[in-house]
Amino acid sequence: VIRVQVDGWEEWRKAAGRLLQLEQSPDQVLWAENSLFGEDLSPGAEQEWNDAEFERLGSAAACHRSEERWDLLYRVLWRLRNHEETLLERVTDPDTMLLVRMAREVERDCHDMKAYVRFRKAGEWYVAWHRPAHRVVRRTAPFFMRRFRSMNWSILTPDTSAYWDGQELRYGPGMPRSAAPAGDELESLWKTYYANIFNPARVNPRAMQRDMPKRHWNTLPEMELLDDLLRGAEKRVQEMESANKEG
Amino acid sequence: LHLAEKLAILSDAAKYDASCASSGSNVRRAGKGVGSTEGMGICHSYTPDGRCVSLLKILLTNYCIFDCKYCINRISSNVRRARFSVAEVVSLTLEFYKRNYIEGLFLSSGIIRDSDYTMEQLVEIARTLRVEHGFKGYIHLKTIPGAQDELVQKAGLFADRLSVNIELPTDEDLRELAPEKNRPQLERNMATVENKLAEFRGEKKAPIYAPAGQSTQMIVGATPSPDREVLRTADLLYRSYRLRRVYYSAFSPIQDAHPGLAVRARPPLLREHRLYQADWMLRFYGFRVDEIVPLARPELALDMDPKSAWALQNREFFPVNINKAGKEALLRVPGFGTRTVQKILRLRRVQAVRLDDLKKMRCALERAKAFVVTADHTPGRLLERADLARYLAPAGEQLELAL
Repeated sequence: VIRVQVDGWEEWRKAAGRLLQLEQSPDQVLWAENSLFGEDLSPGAEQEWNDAEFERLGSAAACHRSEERWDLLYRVLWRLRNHEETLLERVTDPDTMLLVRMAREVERDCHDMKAYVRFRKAGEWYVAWHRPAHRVVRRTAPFFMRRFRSMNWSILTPDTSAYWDGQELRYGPGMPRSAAPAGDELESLWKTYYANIFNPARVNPRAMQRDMPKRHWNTLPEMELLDDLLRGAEKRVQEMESANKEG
Repeated sequence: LHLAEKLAILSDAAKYDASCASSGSNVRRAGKGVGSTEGMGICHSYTPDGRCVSLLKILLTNYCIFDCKYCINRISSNVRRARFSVAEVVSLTLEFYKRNYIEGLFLSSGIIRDSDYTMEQLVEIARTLRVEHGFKGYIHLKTIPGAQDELVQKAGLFADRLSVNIELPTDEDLRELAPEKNRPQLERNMATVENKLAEFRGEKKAPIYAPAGQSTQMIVGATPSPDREVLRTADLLYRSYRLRRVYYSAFSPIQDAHPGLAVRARPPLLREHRLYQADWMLRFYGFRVDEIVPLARPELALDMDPKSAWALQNREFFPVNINKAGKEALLRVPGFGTRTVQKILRLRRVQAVRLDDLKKMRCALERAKAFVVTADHTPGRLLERADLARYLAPAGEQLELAL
């Protein structure tokens, strides 16, 4: 058995190329994030491989927190390279399904980061604290760079933080929530907007919860209003109805 | 009035527009300011009504010289009125955007002075954001009924999406409830924009012009017009003006309702939901309006989805062999969506598709089972059963709005 230690998609990709070259089958590889025993994969020639769809799914799944992701990726790659070229078309194969599911969960988490990061202004910097479900900071930070190129911003998360100073995108270690500002004066206007754009006659908290994962609620300032809005909704509709009947 | 009070009044007044979409625009604008549009819309929050908050959706003002009976902002309503200045809208948009609350601005307005003046104001706000501030986020502008063609066209130079609400299913409905509006006038705005879009289509050096196209909204349940009329109008608009979306808005009780409108309790949300499902069938499943709501049955069933309802009435079309049938036939199977059909087409290239495969694809198998033949299953007499409907209207179907 060969022990291999990788951190991130690019490292995994290199290691996998080497393992293919050595014809090392998946059950003879032990993937580890931080192994006490180090690794025993010797450097050397790597087998080239190119598969756009696997690349797309794999680079996403690599950000997943599941511990079995490296093992799964190598198993799928091995099968693709050993007489199962159509494996990714077999959409109901357990390995394919798991790979697709992990990639989908990561993409969803990237999307959530784009949606639920809330910057708070501190001097000339905009700072957010966010808690992604997977390791998506490096995958998603370029989006914020393109969008907020003219601003200075930081996105702090428990694993990794991203910084943009108008010139260069840098990454640093994880940060606690207390490292970000506790508020922003704009938030009261934002809450005013949130409370008024909501139609009490259409209240549907189930749809809301389905679309907005609860893990992000405590960093969204508008969520402080939720209980009051829900409690008040029925009353507002009844008042409107009875006023209309009298009128 | 303070800015916060204006914001409260003018967002409350804007909430009857269902759309908050920020998708469909994938262009790189020049400019030094903040912003990007990369095709996919992003919902930054959800309100307790389950609706997405993607844009700062406000009216410039809720003063209005029109008297549309269903509208809270009509001249004869006694709601509180307010008006933003151009600078206030610009600053709110930019400040919200920089904190990542929103994808951009959705700006509409009551009609003040006249249509041209109102349209000019809206265009001026979009122009200020784009030109003075280099804003590259999403802008959705309403075009104002009755405004000059040139003004309507100019809006497309700054906006990602333009829309004018068709309001009600028929011209008679408009005559009854929105006396200052009429179908030719509303469609004229759509045609004006579509002509400009057509002019630029395929032209290499064309300017960025309303890259997210046009949409509209129809209020459902304020008049007795049946679903058939609603869908015929939607279909006509899709085909005539290449609209990206028609939004259906279940008529919602408003404060200070017009005495001419019968008092209605709750908005008919289930009907709205069925209309979105039918709309989806028109756009993505290849159905015609006459198939979904034939003259003899002008209302959509409420107790089951419209595709199941069609299947029940057209049993001779089934069973569909999922290992052989074309894409068009597969899309007609109740319980299959476009994603399931794609997976089936992909899988069957390399192996015979079995019932267990369908289960793993997480389609609504209970509904589909009666209508398909797989490598290891045939519906047999199930298709002939008189109580087939029982299998199609599962208890506890979730009301998930398609917005």
